[in-house]
Parts: sequence; structure tokens; C-alpha cells
Amino acid sequence: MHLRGDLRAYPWGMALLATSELRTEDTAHSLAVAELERAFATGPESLLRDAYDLFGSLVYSLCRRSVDDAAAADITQEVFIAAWKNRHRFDPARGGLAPWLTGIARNKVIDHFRARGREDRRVEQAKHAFIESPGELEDVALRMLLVDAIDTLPERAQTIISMAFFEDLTHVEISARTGIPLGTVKSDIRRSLERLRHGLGYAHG
Amino acid sequence: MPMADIELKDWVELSRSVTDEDRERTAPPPDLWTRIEAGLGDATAPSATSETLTADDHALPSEPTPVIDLTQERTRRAPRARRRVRRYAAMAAAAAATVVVLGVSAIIGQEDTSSYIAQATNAELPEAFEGTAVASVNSDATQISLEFSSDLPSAEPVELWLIKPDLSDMVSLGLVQDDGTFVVPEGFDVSEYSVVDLSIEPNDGDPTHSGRSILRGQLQST
Repeated sequence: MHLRGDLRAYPWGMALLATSELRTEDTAHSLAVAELERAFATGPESLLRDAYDLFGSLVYSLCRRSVDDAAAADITQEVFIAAWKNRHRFDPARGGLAPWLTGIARNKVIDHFRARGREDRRVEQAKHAFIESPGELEDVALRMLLVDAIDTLPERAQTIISMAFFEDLTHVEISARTGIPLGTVKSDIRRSLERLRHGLGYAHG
Repeated sequence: MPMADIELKDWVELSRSVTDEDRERTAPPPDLWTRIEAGLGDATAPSATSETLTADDHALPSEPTPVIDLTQERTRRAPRARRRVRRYAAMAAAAAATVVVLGVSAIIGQEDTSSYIAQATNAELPEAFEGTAVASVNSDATQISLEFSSDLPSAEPVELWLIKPDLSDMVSLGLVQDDGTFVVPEGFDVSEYSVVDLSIEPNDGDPTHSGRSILRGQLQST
């Protein structure tokens, strides 16, 4: 990837140089997610709809990497039903709802492959040549979660994180290029990494 | 890898591996939410699994379960096996295994929500793996959590299985990389599928048990 030097080429957050007053507050999306995660384990059934609205596309798109559209819809249905059935197990202190859901999705895709494999293994093997195998799905999920997690960072943090991740720039270099004070760069990165960890991982107890 | 341990250079590596396809999002079909809502009715009903856990199931074993010689069990298996089970020969040959049962309440400590627990060890299994795992089942027997004493081998995938002690049937709970929680598939009762088994599963497209078990233990009700 050749991103060096042109902020407009960054995949995430390119409004940095256009604004002098930089936003540091959380995006509305992340506030909605945090609210949902707090209430999910014990709240009303309407929360499942909220989770579906926020993460239905993510789960469905992840499944489509491994199986056809019809199976992806079936598995997505199973994922959200299983999520609701096991909602009391979800603890936002362990990680985000998105990685929790993609973890369930991955297991369901594996189940699907195993069930299908018992019926007609040759068909599955032929398909394996073109699609992600269930074993690779965890990495796919991680990358998709990263895309979403960075996307929902505040704009300034998106830009700083993009420079740190894609250009491997040091804090000092990022500060020099953007004119953002070094201390702000450091604290933005630290806070962003916390958010990304939460958005990408779920530690099962 | 646990997220807490991930370092900046890992983030750099991960972000650089992101493809255009990873950014694509497709909305689910419009009727999917209706289907999920319809499915919720079944999900809130009490599951058959929890109903089958009787008082007897929760009794502590008075003494350790005898060693089960899987090779012998193989020959006593009913001739008409379910299709889920394949490759008995390889598994049985590989697994003249000892099933180890430890004192139960001592292990679980504060985990009083567990309905079943097993200590899985490598005793007499063919594949060298230094470590043990504690497997605990949640109170309604729908999930099983694994906690390993050391890192699993990473060269080849490791898979979690629940197996009937008489080897007449088994079911996969998916691939395992680290400590984690796994859903017990519907229709499988941990009191019946009570042997926890972890096996090395090469990426050979064969979804059946490879016979290369690295850990095994017997679930006991708590």
C-alpha cells in the first residue's frame, strides 16, 4: 500500500487537515454500542433488535466469506438466536459485542461445514478451493472487526491510528506531520488501542 | 492471541493484511429479522438438555471412573453407528486412553455455576502435549468453557469434541486456540457425551476425528 504523504489516501478518516477544531468526543455509533453492551445481558428483547441493526451486516458479511448467501442467512439467524439465548453470558468487561457475535458466527460456520461434510464431502472440498475455510474465518473476522473498530473512532484518532498502523510512524513523526501536540498523539493512540482491543476481542471466562 | 497482549507491531501487521473484501458489508436479506424473531420463541422454552439433568446426575462420584480402554470399546460398539462418527479405527488405535477424574469440588472453587467439570490430561495419549485443561459446563448445560494450563500447539488446528464414553458417537464443538467458551450443540446432553477430547486436526478437508488426541477427560457433575 502506498499511503505515504497523502492523507486523503487513508482508508479511515481523512478530514483531519480540513478541520482546525478537532473532534475528540466519541462517535454516536460507539456511544450506542457501549449503551447496548451495558444492558444486553439483562435487558429487554428489543436490545437484540438493536444488536441486529448494528452488527447484522457484519455477521452476515462474515458468513458470506465462507458459505453461500442462503446458508449465510441461515447461520446469521442462528447466531442472533444463540446470542439472545446466551445473553446472560455476555460481559462487556471481557470484550465487545461485535467480537462476541463473530465468535459465535465462526462456530456456527464450522458446524455448518461439519454437517455438510457428513452429507457430501466432495462438494465441500470442491468449494474449499474458492472460499475461506472455517479455520481462516477467525483471521477474516479479526480484520473485519478492525475495519469497523477504526471506522468508529473519533476522526482525529482515526487519522493518527492510520498513520501509526499503515506508515509505522513514531509518535514524534505523527506529531511533526500533523501539528498535533505530542502528548495528544500519545494519549489518542493509547485510548484508541484500548478501544480497538475491546472491539476486536472477547475473552471467554 | 489474547487481545490484551497484542502490541503495536501486531496492530501494524494486522492492519496491513486488511483486504478490500474485508471492508465489504452486505445487508442481510430483509426477511431475516422476522425469521430471528420467530426463532426466539423456541429459544426461550426450557431446553431438553437441562430437563434431563436429574438429581442423580449431580451426585458426586464416590470413586474415580475406571480406566476405559477405547480399543476394547471399539469392538463392543453397535454395528449401526450414526453418520456423525467416522474413523473409529484410527481413533481407537491411537487412544488406549486413561480417563482421569479428579476431585470435583476442589477444582471448581468459586465457579459454582458449573454443572459439570472435567480435568483433561494427556495421560497415555499418543500426541505429546505438556499441559492440562479444566473443562466446565455452565448451569444449563448449553456451554462448555476450557481453561488451559499452557499454550496449545499452534502448528495445526486443535478441535474440541464431546464423546460418549462407549465411543458410540461424538460431536465437534469447533476449533480451539486458547481458553474459550463453546456452545454444546442442541440435542447433545453432556451427561451422555461426557468425555471431553481435544485432538489435532490437520487441514486435510476431513471433518472427522483424526485420532490424534492431545487431551482427554471425563465430565463429572458437580
